[in-house]
Amino acid sequence: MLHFMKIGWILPAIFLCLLQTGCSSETELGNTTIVSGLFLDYSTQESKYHLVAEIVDMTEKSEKSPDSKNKLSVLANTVDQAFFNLKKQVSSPLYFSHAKLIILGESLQEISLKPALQYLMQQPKINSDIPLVATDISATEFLETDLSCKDIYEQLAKDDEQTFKLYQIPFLDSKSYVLPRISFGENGVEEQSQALFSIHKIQEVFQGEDWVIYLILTKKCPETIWHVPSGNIILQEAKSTRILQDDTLFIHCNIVVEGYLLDTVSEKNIEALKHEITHSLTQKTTAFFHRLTSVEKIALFGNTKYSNIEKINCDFQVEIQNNVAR
Amino acid sequence: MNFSTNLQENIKIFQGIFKDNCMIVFRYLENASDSSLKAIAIFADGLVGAGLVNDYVVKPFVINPSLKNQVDKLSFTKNSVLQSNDIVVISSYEDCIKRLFSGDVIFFLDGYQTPLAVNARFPATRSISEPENEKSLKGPREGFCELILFNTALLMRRLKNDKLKLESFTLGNRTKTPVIMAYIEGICHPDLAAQIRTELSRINTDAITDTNQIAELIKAKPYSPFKTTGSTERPDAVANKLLEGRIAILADGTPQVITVPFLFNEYFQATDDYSINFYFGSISRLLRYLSFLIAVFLPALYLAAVKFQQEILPEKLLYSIAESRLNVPLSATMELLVFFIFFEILREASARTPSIIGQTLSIAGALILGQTAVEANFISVPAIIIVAISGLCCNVLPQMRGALLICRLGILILASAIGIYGVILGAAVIILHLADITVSHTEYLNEMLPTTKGSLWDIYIRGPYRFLKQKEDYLSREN
Repeated sequence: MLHFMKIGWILPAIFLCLLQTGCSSETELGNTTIVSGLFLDYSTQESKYHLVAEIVDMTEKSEKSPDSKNKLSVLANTVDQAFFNLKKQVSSPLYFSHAKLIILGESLQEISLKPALQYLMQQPKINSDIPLVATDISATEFLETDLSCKDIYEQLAKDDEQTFKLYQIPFLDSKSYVLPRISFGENGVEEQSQALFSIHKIQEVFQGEDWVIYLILTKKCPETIWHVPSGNIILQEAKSTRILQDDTLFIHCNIVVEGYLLDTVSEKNIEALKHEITHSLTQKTTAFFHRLTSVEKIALFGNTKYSNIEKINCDFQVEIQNNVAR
Repeated sequence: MNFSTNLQENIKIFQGIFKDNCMIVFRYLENASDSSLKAIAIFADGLVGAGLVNDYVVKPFVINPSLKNQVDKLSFTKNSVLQSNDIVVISSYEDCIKRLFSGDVIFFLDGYQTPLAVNARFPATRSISEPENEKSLKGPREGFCELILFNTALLMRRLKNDKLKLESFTLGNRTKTPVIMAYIEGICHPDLAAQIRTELSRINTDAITDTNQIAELIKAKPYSPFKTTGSTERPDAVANKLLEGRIAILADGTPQVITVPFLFNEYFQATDDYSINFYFGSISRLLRYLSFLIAVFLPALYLAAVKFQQEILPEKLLYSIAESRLNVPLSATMELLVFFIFFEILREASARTPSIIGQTLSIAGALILGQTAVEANFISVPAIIIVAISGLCCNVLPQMRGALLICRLGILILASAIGIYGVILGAAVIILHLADITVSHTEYLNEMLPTTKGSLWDIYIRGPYRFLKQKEDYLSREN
């Protein structure tokens, strides 16, 4: 009886395991087509979604170069259909889990990312942590280049330590989100910026100081250089709050900076530097808000309430760290 | 069967019994002073020393001048004529046969029904040497031999203690194998001793030629692949086990001594751990635990990663495995199973062949056949590496090899069906099974989760001697 009771505990465990997975999900390595990257776009000429999949060609791997890649291209009326057509192009099951990057074409960004995001989020075989990148080229142009998603990813990941950030697939209900944006030149990725999406459509491209202001206001201050008339300072840390009262936006921000000024012993000099920083940040922040609120339907920081702002009251409290050269 | 007072009749009885046994010698004796005093010495040639028979029995009886004047001649012969240190009066036919095959001389005096057994044993055995399978780098070099007397002597030399108990049993209805149960009174729990005593007494089998038969007959879980009795050829290891409150069972004819109870953590302990610095001893022990995990789980994890959860593989490893598996005709499961069988055949072949040929065979098998199999795309390189590493780790724990094979195979099949969930399920089943085993009132996993701080020092690591507990509480509650 005791033995039956013990087996009685094991059987549900086996059934639970069998429910979790099964032989049906078996895709044996060596018998799969490994996808290393995807390029999703919308062809305005043909009014169809354009999907380019970069696959690792194992048969050529040993004979040619270790990174020899093949690009498969499909057109379809829907994103689902595009992926379905892609599966028909290869003889073995597609494997997406080691894909490095999903690049979103310019036309797709303008139409809407929603159908693409919807498909990507619904597919269990596509990891939700694959980085998304927006670009200013089309899928057709991407097909013509020698660029590979792996190379692009490696270049972006190298820059990631500085100011560039790779973001995962955003949630469908996000009113706004920011994705990294890249431009291509002859030597691969040439220009990097950030694209602000509102209601899944591209609204604004941040570059340089705009991007730093955006990060300061979202409490993700990067360790970056900021220019003031007295010289360069390094932004270290920022804690900001935003309060909207009627048509006035109150911004309070405590910011820690590190300066490269030679003479910081004098309190007067330090106060002057603080003033310069405060003035510069206030000016840039005000300009940032005025420019963005002029764009219709923008959901800045995920909220459309900022579109009614008329006055901006900035209060920057700057703390200068003293561990500088004297 | 009863013996007669007539010498000739007794001779006839024995000649009838041993008519087809040419090694039984019948030596007629007549006293030189009184030719009516006749006797016969019956012994097994080879088991007795020829010189000892002459010195202990033949010469003293033949030349003794005063025997003829004695009233109780048998008693006088036993006490004053025969020279051996061990002379007993035999009471039964079974005892007589047992003594004869143990190397005693059966001495019948004419006119007396009861024979004498005179110890003139000449132990024909190999000398004490280091056990081949349990070599020690720095520890003692002595190992048990096939003679139980020598083995008990080796034990007594290490445990000069009046509390050392050596209880004798005779097992095997046909072999009458002498078996000894050794323990230290006061350290070994009386319940444990009583239980083993009962279990040994209950054994009813025709032949006992090896202690492993006893181990299987007294096993707590007869169908479990895990051992519940330890086995060693090293007297120092047995002495240590006795000091921990365990019981040793020795049998004549085998150098293997079993110890009871055997708990799971003992698989990972080696005598060498105590002969070397505790840092190195601890590292060796941790490596054994690691080897166990690798031997059981590595092939299954590989299979789960290749068939189901490819996400857990790093990118470069994924490409490498995918490339090497590209032209292999067998599925990953079949590939591993086939190569495991091949590996075990290779191991069995090299173990059964003479050592020099065995080594050559292993090298030829591993290198040439492995290389050819890869070149012919019969098997992929990662599979060979997995099987080889797993096989090597099995050899780190020779006592657990059988259990490792079964566990590895079971988890491999589960992993091939349901991936990583199969590995988890297999691990759960193994843990449940181990937790279910009770050996002589002690949980099999008892030492793996010690309740006292002190006992931790000798489980996962080999702590310094000053911290090691000399006696285990749960085995020697009385002490």
